[in-house]
Amino acid sequence: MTASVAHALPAPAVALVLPADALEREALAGAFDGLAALMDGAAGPASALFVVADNAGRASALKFWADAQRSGVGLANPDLFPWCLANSPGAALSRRFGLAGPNVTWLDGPAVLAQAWQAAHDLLRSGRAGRVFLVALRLGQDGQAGALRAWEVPAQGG
Amino acid sequence: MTPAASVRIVITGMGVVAPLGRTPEALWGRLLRGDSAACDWPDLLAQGYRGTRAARLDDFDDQAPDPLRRGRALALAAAAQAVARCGAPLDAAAAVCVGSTLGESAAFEAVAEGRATVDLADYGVASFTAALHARHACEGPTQSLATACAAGNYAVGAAMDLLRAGRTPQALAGGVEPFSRLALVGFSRSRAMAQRDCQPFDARRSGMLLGEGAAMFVLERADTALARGARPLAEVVALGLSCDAGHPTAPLGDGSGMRRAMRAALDQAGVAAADVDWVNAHGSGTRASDAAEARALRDLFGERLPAVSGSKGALGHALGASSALELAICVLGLGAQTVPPTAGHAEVDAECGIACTRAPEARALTWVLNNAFAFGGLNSALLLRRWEALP
Repeated sequence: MTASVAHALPAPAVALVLPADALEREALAGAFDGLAALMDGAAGPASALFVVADNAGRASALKFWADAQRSGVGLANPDLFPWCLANSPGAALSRRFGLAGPNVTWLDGPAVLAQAWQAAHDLLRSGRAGRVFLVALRLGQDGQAGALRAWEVPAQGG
Repeated sequence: MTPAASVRIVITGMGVVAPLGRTPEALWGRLLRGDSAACDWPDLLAQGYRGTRAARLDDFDDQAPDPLRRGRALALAAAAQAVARCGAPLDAAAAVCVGSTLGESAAFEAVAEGRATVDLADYGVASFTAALHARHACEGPTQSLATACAAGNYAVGAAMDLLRAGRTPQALAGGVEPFSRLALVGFSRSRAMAQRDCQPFDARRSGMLLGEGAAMFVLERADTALARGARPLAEVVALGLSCDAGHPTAPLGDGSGMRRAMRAALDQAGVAAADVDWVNAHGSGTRASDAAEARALRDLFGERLPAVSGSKGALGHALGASSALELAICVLGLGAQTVPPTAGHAEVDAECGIACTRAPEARALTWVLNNAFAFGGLNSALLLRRWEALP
C-alpha cells in the first residue's frame, strides 16, 4: 500500500479486541455494543461509513467453500454467502446503526487508513456527508485475535 | 457544483477484456449486434454445478497460465490497452485505484479445498492494485476498493477525487473480476440466478448470470490532458453514493436508496434529472433488484424517462468488474452518440414499466448515468458527460 500522506491518526474513539478465528458475522455482532457509544444516534442519509479491512470476507469465504465441498454445492449455506463479500462488515454496521450515506470498504492493510481519513475530509468538505465514521478492522485468524478501531472524522483538520 | 468539482476530469485511455470482446471496439461491435456471451459450460456441468450457464472468457487461458492469478492477468491486460491508448506512458506519480469483490476467488477456493497453501493476503483486491502499480512503475497512491458489484464505479470515483484534490496528476482506475465458482454457488443458493438467460427489466426475467472480465481507464485533469495533446474520450463528473442500511442482500423495495445515489450524482454536478439522456441501468435481471431500480428511475425522472439500457444480458454480471465494463460501454456510446441494445429485454414488465432499448438508438447524448448496486445495500451512480471543450 502506498499512501500519499503520512500523518498520525488521533487515538480511536473505540478500540476493541475481536475473537480469534471468528467468522465476520459473529465478530461484528460482538462489536456492536462497543460501537454504540460512537454511532448510536447517527442514523440517516448524511452519515457515511468508511471501513479499512485487512481480511474481511476471508473467513466466511473459506468456511462457505469448505462446507460446500463437504456437503455438496447444492447444499451450500446461503446465509453465509453474503459474508464472503469483503464489504459485508461495512454493510452490517450500516444496518445496525442506520448509516445510510456513502459506504466504502477498502480491502488493504492499515497503511491506507491515512488515505481513508483524507477521503473522509474530502467528503465532509464537499458536503457529500455530514458525518463520517472510519473503522479499521482486522478479523482474528490463524489463532490470533483481531482488532477493531473506530473514529468519527472531524470536519476540520484534514 | 463545488469548487473542487469544477476541476474537470476526463478519461483519456480505456481497455476492456470481456466475454464479448477483448478490446473496446470488439465489445461495442458485438453489443450493437445484440449478441450475448451467455452459454452453457461443459466443465461446470462435469463438476456438478446446478447452474452451468455463464458469460466467461473462453480464450484467455493463454494469458493467465496461473489459474490462481486470473484476476491479475485480466487487470494487467485491460490496463495495458488503456495505457497504450492514452497517448503516453503513465506519469510516475500516477495513482492506481482498483475495485473488485474479494480478490482471486480461485485462490480462496483452492485453499478451502486444501489444494493450495498460498498466503491469501497476497491474493486479495490489493494484489491487483499492486500488480498494476508495479507493471506501470507508478509511485502514486493506491486504493483497493472492495464494494462488491459496484466496485468499478467506486474505483473510478476514488480516482476522480484524488485528481480533483491534486494528490495525483493521473490515475489508472477500473474494476476486475475473475470467474468465481464460489460466487456461482453463492448466488445460486441465494436464488438469484436465472433459469436460463439474464433478461433485464423483462416481464419474464428470472435472475442473473455470472460473468467475468476487467475494464481499466486512464483519468486525468482535462487541462493537463489537453496540454499534452491527449484526446479526451469522456468527462467523469460525479459519483453519487448511498447505502440502504436495510437487508444483507435485498434492496429497499421502494428504490429509495438507489434514487438517492442518482440524485446525489446529479446534485453534485448541478444537473437536472431532465438533462440526463441515458441511464445504463444496473439491470441485474433479478425480480427484486430490477423492480426497485425501475421504481427509483420512475420516481427520479417521472414522465421524462431517458433512454435506458442494460448490459448484463450480454455480458453476464461480472460483479466487481461489471460497472467498469459498463462504464466502458457508456464511454463508447457517448463517442458514437448511440445507446446500445439491451440483450435479453423483449417484453416490458408492467410492474417495472421500463422499456429498455432493443436496438441501437442513435440520439444526441450529453449526460449519462452508470448505475451499479451491490449486496449490502450499496448504491452508486456515476455521472458522465460527452467531452466538449467549454469556453
